[in-house]
Amino acid sequence: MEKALELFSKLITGENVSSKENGDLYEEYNSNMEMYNIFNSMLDKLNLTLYQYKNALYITAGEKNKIFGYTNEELRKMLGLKVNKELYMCYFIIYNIITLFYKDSSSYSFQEYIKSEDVLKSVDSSLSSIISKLDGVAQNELEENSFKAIALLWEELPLSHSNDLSVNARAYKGSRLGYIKITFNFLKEQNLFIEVEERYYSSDRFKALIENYFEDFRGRLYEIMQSGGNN
Amino acid sequence: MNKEFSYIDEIIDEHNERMQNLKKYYPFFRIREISLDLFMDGKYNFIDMGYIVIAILRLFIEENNFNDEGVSFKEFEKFTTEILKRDYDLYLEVGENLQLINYIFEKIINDGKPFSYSYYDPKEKKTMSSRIRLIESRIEENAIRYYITSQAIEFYLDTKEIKDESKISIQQILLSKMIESKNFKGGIEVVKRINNEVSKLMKRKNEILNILSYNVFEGNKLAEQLINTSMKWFDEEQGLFDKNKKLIELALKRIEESDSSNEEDFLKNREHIYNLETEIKRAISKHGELLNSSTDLKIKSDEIIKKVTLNKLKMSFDFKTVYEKTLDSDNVQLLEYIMNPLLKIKFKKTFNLRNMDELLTYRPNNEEEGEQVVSLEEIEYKSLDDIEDERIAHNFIIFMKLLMKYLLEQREFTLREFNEYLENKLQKDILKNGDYYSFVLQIAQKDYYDMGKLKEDENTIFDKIIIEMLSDTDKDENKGLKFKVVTLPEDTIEISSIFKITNIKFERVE
Repeated sequence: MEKALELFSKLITGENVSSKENGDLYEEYNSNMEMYNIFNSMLDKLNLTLYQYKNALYITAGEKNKIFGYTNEELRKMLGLKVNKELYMCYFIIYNIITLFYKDSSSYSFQEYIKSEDVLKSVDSSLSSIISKLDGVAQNELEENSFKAIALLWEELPLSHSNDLSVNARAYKGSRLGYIKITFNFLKEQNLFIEVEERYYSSDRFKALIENYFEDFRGRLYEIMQSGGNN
Repeated sequence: MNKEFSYIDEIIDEHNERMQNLKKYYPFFRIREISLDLFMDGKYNFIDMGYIVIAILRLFIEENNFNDEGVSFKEFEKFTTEILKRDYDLYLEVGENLQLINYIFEKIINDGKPFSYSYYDPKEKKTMSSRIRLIESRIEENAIRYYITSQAIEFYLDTKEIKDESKISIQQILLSKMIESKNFKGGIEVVKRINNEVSKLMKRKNEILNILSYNVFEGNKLAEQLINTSMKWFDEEQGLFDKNKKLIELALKRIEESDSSNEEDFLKNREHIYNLETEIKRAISKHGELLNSSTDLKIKSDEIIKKVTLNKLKMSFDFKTVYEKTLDSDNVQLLEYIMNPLLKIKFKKTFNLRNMDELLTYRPNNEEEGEQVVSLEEIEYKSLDDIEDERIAHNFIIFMKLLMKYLLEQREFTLREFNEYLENKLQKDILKNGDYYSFVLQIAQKDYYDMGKLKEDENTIFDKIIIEMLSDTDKDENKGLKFKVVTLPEDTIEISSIFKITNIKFERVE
């Protein structure tokens, strides 16, 4: 019980637990059946899911967890945004980042890293079909969560807030590259990406969650998407 | 087939292998060809990328294999800057220098993608595609480190060193010769090369595991090849290691015993032998690790094959489909279901400051407040059995009432006639009603009924139902009714093919 609590407190505070870091707890989890059972039933009760990937443990609160998940307001605060529409813009960028690495949860990605320009191209092309239909839409009639609202926001942004493109983009919501930077900073903070000289490498945590979580909860997520989130 | 070119079969058979062997040279020439023409209008196109690649591979071999460390981008930057300064007199301003080095680096790692090398396989009659990387990245302690791939090491060694089936054995024999001829310094170099070879094989194992993760067939083939070749030489190599270790010990003993006239030579030789001993100990332990890693590879490849077989049956989550669904419902917010699971756990709990007022103004009561007791009526629940009993009683009453009515009308009739009467009164289906049969069975229990005296000799549930039916509100003529029930065993009534029942005669008694 004590070990299970110790492991829980490490994982919940974002510490790494793997064969290299906190190795004793990792070993204990894999070899002590009693601790394994206690720990897993704790996670079960708290609606958390654990994944083991490349000799390390990763924990997730899933898609709607009232205790361990974040509210829109908290997320906006973390990203430094004011309204939900801007938050949804970031969701959309994150979705594009995922698809640059993965087509589906089981496809191996040959891509080692991506750059802001790759994301920019991807978002541009994803939104282009929506933007082309935007003519004649009254802006104030749009719901903040509609794709048209996001497309309009993107369309109105300049590419970069600096004329000199070689200058590293700042995380500032006044430009498209700025939005991408905001998103990447957030993903870095969430231990999902590592940056070296504007090259963004996906972390093992990112891979562990993408390759396992979505596969496990495929049915439920499809159902939610089908019903438009009224589930 | 043309007889003139009898060797054509050989050409076809061997082509694939030859192309695979050529693969390791491909990235070098690709990178060499990409001149720096496109970078800053060709300002630096005088730099020979071929030279840079070879130099950089040496940096990685030294750092990865001799020092067992990954190379960070910073180290790469430092090393390349040094070359540019030394060989090209390029003393650039920091920003531009970094841009140039980034450009060179991205060319060498091919923008993070493997070099794709394709060729036509005349045997398979299709174009084959092969992938190769020179440098790969790994995440270590939350930082990216770069490592040379085994294919790149092979390429590098091929540019000078001799190729043989087991380089470890050849090097060991060379080492023995060197120790015997007292060339200890040369021996250290040889052991370093052995270590390099061992590291290469271990690296190969990790690469094969990686290949296994996306191409099981290819990975499995490579794993078997590696296990076969590395295992084949293991015993021999282990024996040679032991022999060389003994040779070193012997050399050390001899040098201690010898009366050396030259003190300087003695100290130098002793130092070399000690260094050689340390190196060979390291080599032996690395060699042991290689054995473990081969075993590990076997276990892991089996695991992966098992998992992949299972995965074939499992469906994966398609991000594209999900996107299309969110687009259909025009709700970007749905993407939160994809993003939320990726986030860290929120463990900081916040306290709403507005609650502070309530806390400060909170006055607990001096006395406990009484709680009002409300009495509630118990609710009775009907069980399924109760519901069924009710239904049976209800049906019995209907049948009984009709029987009595018919008796009052007809005085005497058989069950067959009563059946027809019922069919007319109710409907044809009535004879298929199970309750009717149990009614007939119940009524045949007694041969005489006096409704007026039924209360006195109540025996069965059926009697009870009839008594309740004959309540005060019922007609008097019913209450005074008496009748006989006579079975007619020789006459059987058949209703459909399922039910058969003996005919009965009902006779009213005045």
